[in-house]
This record gives sequence, structure tokens and C-alpha cells, in this order.
Amino acid sequence: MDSSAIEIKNLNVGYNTETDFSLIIKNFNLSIKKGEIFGIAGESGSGKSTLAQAIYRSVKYPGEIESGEVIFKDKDIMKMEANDLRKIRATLFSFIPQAAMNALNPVRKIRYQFYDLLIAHGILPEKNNDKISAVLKMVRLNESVLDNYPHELSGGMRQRTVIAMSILLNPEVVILDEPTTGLDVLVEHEILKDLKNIQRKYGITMIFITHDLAILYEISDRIAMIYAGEIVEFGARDDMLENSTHPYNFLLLKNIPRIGVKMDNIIKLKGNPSNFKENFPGCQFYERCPFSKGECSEKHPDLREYSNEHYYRCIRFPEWKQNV
Amino acid sequence: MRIPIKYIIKKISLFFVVFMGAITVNFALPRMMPGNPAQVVYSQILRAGGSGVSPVYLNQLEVEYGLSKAPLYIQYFQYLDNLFHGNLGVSISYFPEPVSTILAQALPWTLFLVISSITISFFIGNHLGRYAGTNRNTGKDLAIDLFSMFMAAFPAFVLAFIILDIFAVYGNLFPIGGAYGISVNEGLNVPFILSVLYHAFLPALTIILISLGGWVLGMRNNIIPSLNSDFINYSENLGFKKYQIKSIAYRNAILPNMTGFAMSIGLSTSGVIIEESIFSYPGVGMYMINAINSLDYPLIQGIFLMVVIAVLIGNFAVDILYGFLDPRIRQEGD
Ligand SMILES: Nc1ncnc2c1ncn2[C@@H]1O[C@H](COP(=O)(O)OP(=O)(O)OP(=O)(O)O)[C@@H](O)[C@H]1O
Ligand code: SF4
Ligand SMILES: [Mg+2]
Repeated sequence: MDSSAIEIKNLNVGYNTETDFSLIIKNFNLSIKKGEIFGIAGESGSGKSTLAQAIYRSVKYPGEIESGEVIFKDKDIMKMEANDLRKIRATLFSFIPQAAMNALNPVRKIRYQFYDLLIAHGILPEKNNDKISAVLKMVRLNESVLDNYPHELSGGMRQRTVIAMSILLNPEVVILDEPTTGLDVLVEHEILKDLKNIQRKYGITMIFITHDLAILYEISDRIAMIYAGEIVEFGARDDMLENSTHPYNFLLLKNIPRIGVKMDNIIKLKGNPSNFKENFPGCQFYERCPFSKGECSEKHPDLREYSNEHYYRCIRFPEWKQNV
Repeated sequence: MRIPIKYIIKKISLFFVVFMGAITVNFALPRMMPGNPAQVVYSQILRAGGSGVSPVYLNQLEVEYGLSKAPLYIQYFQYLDNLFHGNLGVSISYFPEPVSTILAQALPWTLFLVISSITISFFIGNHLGRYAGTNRNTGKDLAIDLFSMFMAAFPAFVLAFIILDIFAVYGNLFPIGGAYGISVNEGLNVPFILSVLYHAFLPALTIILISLGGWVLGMRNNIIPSLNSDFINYSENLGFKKYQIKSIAYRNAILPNMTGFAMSIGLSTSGVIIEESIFSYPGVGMYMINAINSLDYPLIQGIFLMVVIAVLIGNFAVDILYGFLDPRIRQEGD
């Protein structure tokens, strides 16, 4: 039996600009296993949201999916009929967006937003109040939120509500794009703990996007580090933690911060983050990499396997590690 | 729905304060006029054929215009007393009709015209705007936008003349004036109602066309960000159906237009002044023009007061309506 929940093949995504098209996600390949929490990390602007939206086929203009396949349950999401895609959303495959706090309709009570969701998928709302109560309990919200408008809830409660809506119909795969940004650290960790419990209990496959390294390493089974729209290293959590093969991951880990400190703040790397140099032939990390040599600017590194299912994109591995 | 009592009380008190302010201004204005308006009005009445008026009326006018020797606060209470008994003085040009009688005749026609045309225009405008916004950057959108901008910028009285000329004067399809034909009997009967609609058609068409553009552009500009909002994206992510998504976007986009709606009913009460006189439609607007032409101060003042009240009520209605429609506003009042 096929053990992958999602297969991303040769995905290319970018943005239309006034003059041309700038490619952000380049020839992206990844396979997500059933029942795992797959963490994706990268600095702000590295293309995480673009990737997440592309997987969910919800990229909006000026964004555009240029090519690629996303195989889910033997079907290519990119080629599905609009209505078939609509039907699997929230029922088999869910997406919790980055600005989850603002994702609720401001002029409708939470109860009716849940009802709308049920109606959208042909389910009678009145008979499913129990189901709604159950998911609210899962995210540890009091049922009274149903009679509130979104603005009457705190940011954390709103995010919990969004999570509850996203899992109401028992999806198999959930993408979470920084679901806890904007929350204070304690609330953030509570929500993540709950998410992990739910994930384990129901065997949901989660693709979890963050730029908080501490959270990433705490919650994920496997991890991909992306830089300028490309995977620079990926593998099982422990391998990534103990045997970093790419300087980027290595430097980040060396600086691994207190809980809740975001990647952008701790990275002591010189240069600008992820400035997509489209025609640069070499390694995207070249300008900021303390281990770079001339050769790095000439040839774009391929993704190579280091050990079982642990990949890296660096020309100078393992030599660079001898210098540290 | 929970009734936002606190919010309503707050708005009512505010309305009351502004209302008192407006009628106080109306009290103060003639008292600040130079000369002796009472004498002017009195002699005008004499000239207008009111030879029967006695000098007693001159005294009464002087009281009304604050020329009496009584202390100001006494005058103010007299003025309030008069006002709340509906006593707005006597018209000059329609002597000896009291101003209140004229307003009572004219106001229903104006309200009928304004409310029905603004409602129709609001309905059509919002739907056109929604259509344009959801078909953004297409030829249809462009056509609707251009039309709306053109109409919104078009001078009302020019349009009124054009419509009157085409459909009534040359086309002979509609009457050139009046609120209903002379052959029908006033009352709730079919010929009367038909005649009223027939007579209101051209003035209403003018108001609809003039005000349409604002609704269209307002709605279009609201629904575009609404369609791109986080909550619309999320509804799509949850697999909502098209009609659900459209209704969420529409519901959020129509809120600001709602404010405009009640307000423009108030404002249009003054806005129809020229249109009514062009179409000889016997609303307050037509009387206002006549009053201005014949320097009929009492009538001008009475209409002015009424327009102010209409605008205030419009604003008040908006506040209350908005409180019911937008839960966020409601809470601010708590
Ligand atoms: N609407 C847009 N138009 C043009 N370019 C865009 C647009 N949105 C994103 N980009 C480009 O795509 C790159 C990746 O953006 P994306 O939002 O995917 O980053 P991210 O990793 O999710 O960042 P963050 O952590 O801040 O959410 C950005 O660097 C930006 O240059
Ligand atoms: S290829 Fe060169 S520049 Fe790129 S990460 Fe490796 S060492 Fe650094
Ligand atoms: Mg993002």
C-alpha cells in the first residue's frame, strides 16, 4: 500500500510582476507520509505560504502555479474539476491559513459559520450539534463561543475556532500555515500541544509550517528547511537535529533560541534573507554562507542523499563540517 | 437578536442633543438678521393681497423674529411652544395659509418620491456594483463603471430637463407636471394610484439615474476587498459553495452602503428641490423655489427646518440600523 499522503512533483510557483514572472517555488519535490507531522521551516519570505497555498491549489493572482503535480488519494489536485476540489476541501484535506485570526466572517455568529460549513458539504446542521461540541472540546473551547461574534473572542480563541472548523469533518490531511503567529508564547504552546494530541489521536497527517525553530523541532516527525523557495535540507527530526548537513540548518541550530523566539530574530547571518536571485547560477545561500568557496557560486547544488531519507543541497558537504 | 439597548439609548440622546441644536440655530438665525424682517414680511403680505391683516399681526411677527422686548429666554420658550404646536408662522406667497399646512401637503409627496426612488436606486445600484465587482476588470465591469461615473458626475437639473424634454414635452409620453391627474379622485383607488405612479415616473427616473452611480461604485469598491479578504479565502478553503461565498462577501460589503442609504434619504429631501420644481412636482422642493422667488421667509424657514430634521432622522436611522447590522458597532456602544 502507498504510504504517502501527499506527493508533490516538480512544483513551480511564482508571482506575476508588472514586467515578468518571478519564480519562487522551484521544481519542488516532496512526499508526505501518512500520519506524520511534517514541519516546514524557513525565514520570512522564503516561500512557505506560497508552497502551502500551491499544495492546496489556493494560490491567488498575482500568484500562479506554473506547473507540477500534487497527488492526493491517487488524484492530481492540480487537474481536479473545481467542484470536486471544493468537495474534498475540509472533508479530506484542510488548510489553516497564516492569518487564521482574521479568517472568520466578522458579521456572523460562530454557530452559523459552523452550520454554513456543514451545509456546504451537504450535511444537515441541526443534527450535528454534537459533532460541533466535540471538536470544540478537542480544541478546548467552551460551547458558549458558538453564540459569539468573532470580534468578541480573543485571538487565541479565534484561532482555536478556525482549527475546530478545519477538523470538524475529519480530514485526513491538514496544512497549517503558521497557525499560531500573533499569539503570545504560552497560548501558542498550549494550542500546539493540543494540535499534536489531536493529530496523534486521530492519525491526521499534518503539514506544519513555521518560522519558529523551537516549535519546529518540538512538534515535527520530519522536517524540511527551505531557503529561497528550495529545500536545502530535509530528513527525520533527530537526524536534522544531530547531523545537520547544510550550513543553514547548522547555523540556525547553533543559535537555537529560547522558546518562542522567531528564526528571523536569531539568525546571525550576514546578508539579506532569501533574496531570490533568479539568474544566479550557484548556491542560493552563497552570499551568506560562512563556508562558501568559489565553486559554490558557479554551480547550483542538487539535492543529495546523506543517509537514509536525509537530504541536503550543498556542494561542500561534508568538507565544510570539518571547519567548524 | 439581542437588542442593543445601551447603544440605542446612546444614539437617541445624541439625536436629541443635535436636534435641539438645530432648532436653536433656527431660532437664532432670524434674530441675527439686520433690519426688521417682521416689517419686511408684513409689508410683503400687504402687497401680496393680505390687506386684511391688522397691525396685531405685525406685533406677532416681531415676537416671532425676536424683535419683541421680551427677554431672550422667554422668546425661546415661546418659540419652542410654537414649534411643538406646529406653528411655523404664515406663508407670504400663499397667504393666508400657515406654513405648517403647506408643509403637511407637500411633505408626503416629497417623501414618497424620495424614498421610493432612493430605494429602487439602492437596490439596482448595489446589484450592479456587485456584478461589476465580481466580474472585475472585464468589459462589463468597465462599462458599468464608466456609466456610473458619468451618471454620478452629471448635473441633476440638466438631466431633469433632458428627461422632461424627451419624454414629456416632445415625446408626450408622460405629464409635464403635477402629482396626479385632475380627473381622478384622491383616495385609495386604482385610477388614483396609477395616476400617481404615472406622474412620479419621470422625477423618480431622474433621481434614480443621478443617485445610481454612487451605489454602484460604492458597492464595487467594497466588494472587491471583501472578495479578497481573509475570511473569503478561508471560506473557499473550507469548500463553501459559490453562493455562500458571494453572500458572505455581499453582506460585508453592503454595510457601508447601508449608512449611505438612510442618509441619502435625508439628504435627498433637500436634493430634490430643483428636480421637483423642474417637474412641477408639488413637493417641498417646488414650494421652496417658489418661496425663494417671492422672498417668503416664513416658508423658507419652515422648509429649512424640515430638511434639517429629515437629515437628522436619516442619520439617526443609519446609526440604529447599523447597530443591528454590524455586531462590531453594537458592542462599541456597550
Ligand atoms: N502577492 C505577491 N506578489 C509578488 N510577490 C509575492 C507576493 N506574495 C509573496 N511574494 C513573494 O514570494 C516570496 C515568498 O512569500 P511567502 O509569503 O510565500 O513567504 P513566507 O515564507 O510565507 O513568509 P512569512 O514567514 O513572512 O509568511 C516573497 O519573498 C515575495 O517576494
Ligand atoms: S554550497 Fe557552498 S555556499 Fe551553498 S551552503 Fe554549501 S558551502 Fe554554503
Ligand atoms: Mg507565510
